[in-house]
Amino acid sequence: MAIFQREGDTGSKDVETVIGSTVKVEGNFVGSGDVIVEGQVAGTIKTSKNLRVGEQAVVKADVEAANITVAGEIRGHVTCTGRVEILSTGKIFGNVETQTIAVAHGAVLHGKVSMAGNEPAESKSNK
Amino acid sequence: MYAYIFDSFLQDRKYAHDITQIENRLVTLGIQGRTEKMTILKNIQEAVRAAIKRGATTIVVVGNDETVNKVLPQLVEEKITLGFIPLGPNQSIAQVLGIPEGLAACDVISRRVVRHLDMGRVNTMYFLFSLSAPANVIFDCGDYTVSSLDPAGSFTIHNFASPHTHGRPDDGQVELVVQGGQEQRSWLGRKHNSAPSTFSLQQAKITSLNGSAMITLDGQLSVKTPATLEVVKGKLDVIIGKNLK
Repeated sequence: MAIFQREGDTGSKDVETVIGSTVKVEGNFVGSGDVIVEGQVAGTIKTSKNLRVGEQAVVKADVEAANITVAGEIRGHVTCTGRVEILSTGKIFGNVETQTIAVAHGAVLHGKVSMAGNEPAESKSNK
Repeated sequence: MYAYIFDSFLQDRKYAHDITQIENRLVTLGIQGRTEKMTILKNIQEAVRAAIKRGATTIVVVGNDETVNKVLPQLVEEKITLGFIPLGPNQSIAQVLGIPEGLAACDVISRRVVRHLDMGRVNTMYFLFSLSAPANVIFDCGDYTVSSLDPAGSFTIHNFASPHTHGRPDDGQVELVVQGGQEQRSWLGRKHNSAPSTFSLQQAKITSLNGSAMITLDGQLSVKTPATLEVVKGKLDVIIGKNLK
């Protein structure tokens, strides 16, 4: 599933916020629509919809979204209620909590991945 | 009660025929009112003040973008409904409000579809359409701040839809667009401008990184930073056309 049609396409009416390559956002950003990050973010990003981290983006933040596509770099905790997709240029340095995950060849993931609802049978029986 | 104010540039003989047609049409539609025709010696703000004193509840200005911008501050203060008959060059406001130019605008005034539009307030001054600021300012939106990494870039706030935003002038928020000024090169070596950044916001503090910067409201008024921006919902009553953007 492609969250956004193509790189740099910001024409969708669902895209509420675009953080372009010439912009720096600091603090706790909360959006209610799709968010595209191509620039720099420090703090937190939270949206109830989709998040795309572009190839040039540097996100030093905890991020939370319904679906997350990573082509750039995230340094922080990633929480996702749907699907995380790390593209070949994507890098995540932090733990990931998600329902499903797709990691492309060449992608970097340094952190623990937990998938909600998919705990191993052993740990369930121990409870 | 309607009052009509014609801008001074319409004294040019080339507009005489259009003005006669408009005046006749207003009589035909039964919405004629006291008419004031500006000259270079008459001040349009004084004419608005006088019309309000006489009891006008709707002031229809005939002219262009500049005409509307000149009367807006007074109409906002006095809660007077704005009507607009576009005539002459520079008609971007008419396009945004969905009002056809010239004679056809009389029918829009006659239908009197009034919308309560939001206005932006910066300190004590209002803007209806846009705010622009240089790249050396920071927008503090409460929980987060937005700054530009490109010294040649610029900030623009839109109350209406623009090529990069889908905002409406009655949604209680404005759209901040951050545009890069420098061309960037792709890995193929092609030059391109970076995609603009867009944010929706209801209020912000605007400060400058070095000294104070000038913020321009509707291309007319200037305000120095630091400044406080907020959206005032339904502040201005405007007669709009069918195709309001």
